[in-house]
Amino acid sequence: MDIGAIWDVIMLQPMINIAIGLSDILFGSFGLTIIALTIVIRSVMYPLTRKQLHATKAMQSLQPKLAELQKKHGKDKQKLAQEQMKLYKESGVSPTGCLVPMLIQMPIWIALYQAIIRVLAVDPQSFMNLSRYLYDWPIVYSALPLEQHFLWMNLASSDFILAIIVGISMWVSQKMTTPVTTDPKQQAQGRTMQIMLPLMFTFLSMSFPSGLALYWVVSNLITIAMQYFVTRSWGGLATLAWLIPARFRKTENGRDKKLKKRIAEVEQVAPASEALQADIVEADNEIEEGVGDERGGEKRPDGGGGYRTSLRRVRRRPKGSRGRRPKRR
Amino acid sequence: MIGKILILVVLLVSGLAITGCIGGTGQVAWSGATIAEETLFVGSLGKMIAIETTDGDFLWEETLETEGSSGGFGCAIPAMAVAIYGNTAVAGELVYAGGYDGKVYAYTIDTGASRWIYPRSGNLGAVIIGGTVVSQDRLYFCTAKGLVYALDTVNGDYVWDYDIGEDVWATLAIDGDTLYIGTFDKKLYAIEVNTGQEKWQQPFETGGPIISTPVVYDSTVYVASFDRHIYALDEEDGELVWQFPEAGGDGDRPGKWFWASPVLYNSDIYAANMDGKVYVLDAASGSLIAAVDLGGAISSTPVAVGDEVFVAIEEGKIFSIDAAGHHEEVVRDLELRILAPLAADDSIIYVHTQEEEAIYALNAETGSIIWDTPLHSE
Repeated sequence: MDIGAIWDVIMLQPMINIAIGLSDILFGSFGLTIIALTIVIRSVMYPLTRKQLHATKAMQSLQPKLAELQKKHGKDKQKLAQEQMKLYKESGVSPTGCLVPMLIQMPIWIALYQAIIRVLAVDPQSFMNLSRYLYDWPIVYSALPLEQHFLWMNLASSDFILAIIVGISMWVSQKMTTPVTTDPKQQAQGRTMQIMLPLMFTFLSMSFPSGLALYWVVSNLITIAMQYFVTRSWGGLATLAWLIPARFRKTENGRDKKLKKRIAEVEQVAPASEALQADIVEADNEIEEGVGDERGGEKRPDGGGGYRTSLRRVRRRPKGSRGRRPKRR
Repeated sequence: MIGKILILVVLLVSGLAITGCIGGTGQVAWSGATIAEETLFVGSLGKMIAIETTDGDFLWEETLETEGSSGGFGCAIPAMAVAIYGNTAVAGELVYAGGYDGKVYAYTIDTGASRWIYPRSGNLGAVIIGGTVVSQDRLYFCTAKGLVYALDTVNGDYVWDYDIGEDVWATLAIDGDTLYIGTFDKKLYAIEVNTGQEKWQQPFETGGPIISTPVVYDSTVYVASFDRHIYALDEEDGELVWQFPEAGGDGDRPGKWFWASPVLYNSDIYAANMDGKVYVLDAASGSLIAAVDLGGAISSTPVAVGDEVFVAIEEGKIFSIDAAGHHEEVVRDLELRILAPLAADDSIIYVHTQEEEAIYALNAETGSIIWDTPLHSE
């Protein structure tokens, strides 16, 4: 059995049959099926997405310090890499923390995408190929063909309006998830991604069946919602805050506050300069009041250089009892 | 660093998902061959072809392409090859083909000169997937959107049309004054050719789409459905005579779609299923005589020659099933994908392969290749 056949058996076939079965429950509408399936799958993968978003957020918080290191050791690549790794280690942030959950989710996204393409079966040959993937379930055989008209669209044909919505939703999603950085190189990369991906998907949506575009739109909207509710932040969209309704312009959630606090605490015990801390405050723009100010000048007793106290170690310490185990009551 | 990895991953995955992972092969057409006056007519991707049955030489070929246009934003839309999925029909000096571009073409059989195209300008507003049939100076076909047309065979003049209102991919069957049409929306319609109106009070409804052409024999219409059933209906009123498998019945049950049309031979129905089996049924009672397992999906309609029924599986093996004992035997393994219906004349079987698209003429007794002709020269 080659890798393609294994992929079909363990990923694609289940996805196709679940999609067809689900459509039977949803009045035979493939449009509703695409929406429901995308929501279900994204919900199932929410823990991973959440982890990914937090990791991205943590990376964003480190950006000012990384920029500082870049300035400091920009000419010595080896030293820079060493210092960066040291910073990651001490702050408890994994540089691949946002990639791993994303990589785990990708096969599922691709299977969903392929399932939609195959079930849409826009021409006779595609429909014939679909038969290879069907389980021996009566519901699967009675549900086909699926209703391909949804709202104003024929899901088997491209749709200009939906293509535009794909572009807009993807731009918003990209804008929110692209890390805020002070590094001009990374800023340029971020800008390119923010423009190129939405443009690419808009043009693709104009030539692909709109069923696929519908999946992209729903997926983008879910990403936007998750991004907002998990991080309580509009990310890069904050620059467009005047467009966001006032009641949604909230500060970060408790978990982000904790994260920022942890970073601040690391800085307190490290020989970080006032300027460096000012950078963090400036970049984050929403940092909790009071954090880092009271004990900002406090240094590690050993006076050693670098950030030797990791975030995890800091978190285990109860407030007001640094270095001591809490008493049992 | 992370940014670069992220960009790389996103682009890689987008590229994989959008291009490489759609899968499947390139576009193919699976028109079966029609034989008349020592000439084989077959539709292909972007071509209508006539081949001499004696030696496999091209008699003529006509290119079928959509017209290019200037498109928007200065982008030109190139001409596209038109696929022919359904069988062609021959009557008098003309051969007819329904194109995926929503047009019907009539060519002279000896030179391939275009005699007429219907409609005269534009197209029918829907593609044509099923084949064309001819009876008594009338050409019948149906668009994929369910518009059944009757045209004059000589000049292509409009005679009547009837809107079924459902998607149709199947080739019509004609028997006497009645057309039988299976629809993608799971129904079988009977339409009177003289009036263009429905014959039965209501269409017969199955549990799945009907892609195959029904068979009419002894006042009974036999139709195969994607719901994995074969139905026998009374020709007059469309009432169910029997169905296989029976509701709640035990024993062999077809596992996948009936894409190929059933074939009648010696009062038996041979129904090839995509589960790789050919179900041989008694035409009168619907009882199962044999389920012959050929070991590969079948979407090509079988053909009867002599005392045998020949069946091709998608992987390229061609089997013979003897009508008496229902034993199968491999006649030839072409090792090429076969989706098109088989055709036969005397004791020669004609196979239209979809992989390396070609026509093979096989000796039915020995399985030897008499000639083979590629349909597209590079």
